Amino acid sequence: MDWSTNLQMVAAGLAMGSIYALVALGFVLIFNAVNVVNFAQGEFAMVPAFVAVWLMNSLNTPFALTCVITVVFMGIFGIVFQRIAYYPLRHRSFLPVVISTIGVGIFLKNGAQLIFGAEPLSMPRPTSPTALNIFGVFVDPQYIVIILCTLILLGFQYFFFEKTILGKKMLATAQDKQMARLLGIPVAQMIAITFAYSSILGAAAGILVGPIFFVTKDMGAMIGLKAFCSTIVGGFGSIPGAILGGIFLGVIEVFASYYISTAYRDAFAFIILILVLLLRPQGFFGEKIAEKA
Amino acid sequence: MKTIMKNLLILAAVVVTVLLLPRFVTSNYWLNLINLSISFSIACLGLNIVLGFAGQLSLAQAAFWGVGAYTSAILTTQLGLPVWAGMFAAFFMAALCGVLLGIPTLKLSGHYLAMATIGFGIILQLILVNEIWLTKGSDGITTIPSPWIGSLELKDPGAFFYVAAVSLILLSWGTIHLKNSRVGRAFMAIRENEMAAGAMGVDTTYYKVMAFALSAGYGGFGGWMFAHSGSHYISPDTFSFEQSVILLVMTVLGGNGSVIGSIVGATLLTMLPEVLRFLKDSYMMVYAAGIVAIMIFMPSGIAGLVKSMPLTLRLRTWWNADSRGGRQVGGGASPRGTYPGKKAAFQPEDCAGSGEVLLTVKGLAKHFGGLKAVDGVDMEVRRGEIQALIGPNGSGKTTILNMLSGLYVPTAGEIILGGAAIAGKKPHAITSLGMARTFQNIRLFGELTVLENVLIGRHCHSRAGLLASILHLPSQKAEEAGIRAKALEMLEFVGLKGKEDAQANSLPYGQQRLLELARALASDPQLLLLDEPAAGLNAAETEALVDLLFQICTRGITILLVEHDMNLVMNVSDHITVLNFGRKIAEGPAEEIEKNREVVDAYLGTEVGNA
Repeated sequence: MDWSTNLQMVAAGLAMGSIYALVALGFVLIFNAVNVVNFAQGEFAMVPAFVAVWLMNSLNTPFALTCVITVVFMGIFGIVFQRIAYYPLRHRSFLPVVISTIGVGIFLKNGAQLIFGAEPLSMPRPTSPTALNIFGVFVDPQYIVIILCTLILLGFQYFFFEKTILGKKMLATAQDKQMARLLGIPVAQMIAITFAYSSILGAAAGILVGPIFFVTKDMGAMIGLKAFCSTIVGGFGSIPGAILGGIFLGVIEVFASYYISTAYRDAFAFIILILVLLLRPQGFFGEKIAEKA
Repeated sequence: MKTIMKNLLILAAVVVTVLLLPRFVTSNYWLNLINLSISFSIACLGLNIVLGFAGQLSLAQAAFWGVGAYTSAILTTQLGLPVWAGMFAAFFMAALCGVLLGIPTLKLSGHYLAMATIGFGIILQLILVNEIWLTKGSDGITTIPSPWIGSLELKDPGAFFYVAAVSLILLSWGTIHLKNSRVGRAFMAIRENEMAAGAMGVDTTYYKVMAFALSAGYGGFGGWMFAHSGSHYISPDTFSFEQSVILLVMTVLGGNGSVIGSIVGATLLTMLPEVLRFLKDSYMMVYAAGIVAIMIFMPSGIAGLVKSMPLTLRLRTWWNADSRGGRQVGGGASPRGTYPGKKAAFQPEDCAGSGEVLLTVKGLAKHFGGLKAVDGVDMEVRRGEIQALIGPNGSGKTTILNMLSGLYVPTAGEIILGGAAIAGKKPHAITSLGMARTFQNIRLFGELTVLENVLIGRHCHSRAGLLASILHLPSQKAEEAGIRAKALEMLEFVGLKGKEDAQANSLPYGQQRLLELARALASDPQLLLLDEPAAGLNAAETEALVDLLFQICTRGITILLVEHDMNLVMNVSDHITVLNFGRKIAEGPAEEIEKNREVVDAYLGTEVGNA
């Protein structure tokens, strides 16, 4: 139980938590905009990881260019995704939309396997593989990159929603579509942009996490589920809740798998989810919302 | 009765098919495949209960299938228990998992169950792989025994087929009965409108957990069948998330909510991959694309397509031709209402009651954050009277109704209905104490028939439980007849006789309001809360409503009314309470309120004064 091991685990937890937070943010933005839980959210991180690996390994694209292409690709991907999985069903209840996002998610997973094969692929690291020694604590530099990039993205997002007119229009659409439409905001376009942005957040998560793990068709499912748990732990629909929930889960997971059981690492997020639902269903930051009668 | 003849006819056809099938299909390969499709069918029947009936998405049906398979396999191979004991254990173990998972997730509405079930599937996989002492890990359990009947071992797939077929028939039969029972209607009410279901006396959490546990139990039963037939071998990777999704596709393809549809969907998709072997690597992709396509292009599945075919319509007419008559026999209740006949010559005094206080509200308050929607209101409603609650928009009228009916928990204050403190109780509990309501924006069970809507209103005056409903016991049949009689009487009372089989949301607006009223009346309330019953009605409809309100009143039912139509309010009310900004500003008989200076300033303006 020495402090440097614990600090190393904190760094690892913060890094994984940042990934969950990015994907969780994507969940929340889509949920707030269209009231749909996107079960393919994890695939939004899996697809860009494959795209990036393919660009770098097969076409020898430099890292920076790979990032740009992947982000652009995922932006378009998000728009196409909403056109297929959400748009035709937008006037129906939540169940058909949810089922359709599950369908698209499975399609993407198996599509990835068909195109890239079942073998796990490794993504070239943009950072050195040797751990940095920070006052005796050994930290993988990729963790630091993940945490920093996430912070920068969050800063950008804050600026975007608080200071730009496009961000305000998107917020208005999420608040009240009818009213936004009356004010001349192109609602369908705003929703498409929300999906695109959510998908770009996935691109960031996929490229950042790719070098730590192998890139496989199943990587997205687990990240997506844990991101969803994060949104509930933090308070469903709350943006700060999603971020803090993700980081909380990331850290807890690392500690629990070290001190309790490595084999059950993937179970802890769900156990916490169930506990939160039992004890504080509105999450840490959520408000109790009552449906209007 | 002819209906019995028709049922016997169907039964005979099914029996002959079951007996003859193994004579024609002699290849063990195909018999095993048929047994597998029956195992899937049973799992899908279960999924259909939770998804199709109750509208809750479970993504762990394959996991429950696995719980059943492993429970029975472990008990029979390691403890040497008989396979039939394993069957019950499989069912109950899966159902127990369903209860434990359902309780935390189903008290909330929405998507929590879907995610929690995925999590359950993952945890189950981890247990199956890691707890080698119990589950043999990734190697799986081999040589699982076959069931015995007496000294006969049902090892041969043709022999096991009889067990599978009989189970499927019994379970389908039970599920069809369930759908047309009090419990099944409670499930469907939750699917259609959870809030209204609660307000009609359905304990929504209880019934959601029940539907989910039953669904899990069916899954476990299907798993038992899988473990003890075919290759007599199970391993963790069979019970994956992908398999849960395949079961989901089978169910929605067959037609969400249709019992026969689930079986058709499961059979079709079990056989299809065998035919489409060339898809091998991409068949999950085809499945996935299939889900999206079904959702977009045929949301009601195969059952929906078949239902709209001309041949089926003709068969249906034939079928209903005389089974209809049988149902109407039960509906011979006394026709009391005169509506929609001539305007009855009622005087408001006719229904003035004993003057005893039925509802007391003391210091009632509801704050939403800083907003004080209702801020310390006292009021009384006397038995047998019509009392109105009026006030400008945002004065807290609907918020008060929502607290009275249990949809909101009051921030402070007391509500006493006939001596019982009800503040903070759940809506269904309040309904069973004798309070019913209608909603400002109509909340019917839209996809259900008019009659079913009213039958659900009868929920808290009936008792048939899950088992009685599935087994269609005589006590349940008798109770059902009573519910129907009452429901038909209520429909006649509000003037919807003859519309019983229409889909609720196909009714014109005015009739939807009447149906909501009939549904509320079916619960035999002492106190009826009406939230803007005249909103959106034309002059003639409003006049008819006034009539109806007096008639309800003469039945001894007290009415508390929120309404903006001042003519109506002044016309029917014995007492009026006026709210402004969440506080009571006046109270008294209608004539006094009309002249009250403060009320006129705040709300009525001069318009009514002139009228």
